[in-house]
Amino acid sequence: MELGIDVSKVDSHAVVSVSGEIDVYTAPKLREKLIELVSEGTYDVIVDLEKVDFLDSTGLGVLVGALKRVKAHDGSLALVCTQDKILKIFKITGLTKVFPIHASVDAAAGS
Amino acid sequence: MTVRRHPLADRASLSGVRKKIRADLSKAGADASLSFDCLVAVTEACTNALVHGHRTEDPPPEILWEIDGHSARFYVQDYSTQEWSKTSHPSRDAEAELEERIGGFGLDLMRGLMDEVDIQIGPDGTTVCLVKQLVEAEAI
Repeated sequence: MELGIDVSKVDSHAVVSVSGEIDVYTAPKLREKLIELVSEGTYDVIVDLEKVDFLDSTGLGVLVGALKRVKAHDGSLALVCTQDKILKIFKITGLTKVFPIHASVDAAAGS
Repeated sequence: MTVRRHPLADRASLSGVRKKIRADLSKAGADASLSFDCLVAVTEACTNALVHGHRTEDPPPEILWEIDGHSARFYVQDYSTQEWSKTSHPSRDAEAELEERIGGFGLDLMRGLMDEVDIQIGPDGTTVCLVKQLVEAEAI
């Protein structure tokens, strides 16, 4: 399955809406997009995972890497996710303590 | 019981392997949540075999799965003698430490999502065995 990535703006945040499967094959595409945003000076990022069907540790690594990059510029990276199966991945790995996870883009932008 | 063996040609092949496993799990009556757990754990093992346990001179890694109405068993075999990553979280409390561990969550996910995880490292390579019960133990 292809990985879909769409970038939009909400207030001062870049919203990266991801769809499809994030695994070792597709994750580099997401990594490149997130690096591109930071290199363009976008340091407040929301990654919307609502349309993600599959996420593994490679995808988690990409998100953690992006968090490090925006934090280096005093920025932020929030996630949008309400899918139990995806949330479970964050809980098992302890990453719910690292990422702010919201139920909607509006909630993430307002936090 | 469904028994299949599939070579892991490259990273691009993982999505297709997941599709086949998902179909067999569905046929066995596994619900979407159990199926997802298996697919993530299997992908972790396969990714490790492809990324850390495969050199061009080695035969390609492969996966074998056995699925019936009670359980799903997956065996991911690579033929490299390279050290298999067995890293796990030393602590879930240290936020900074977590952020440093990019890409090191695979074994945690396998252990967190499956009922049994066994890693056998031998002179001919590494075999990861993953087991998931598809029905409650008392219902068997």
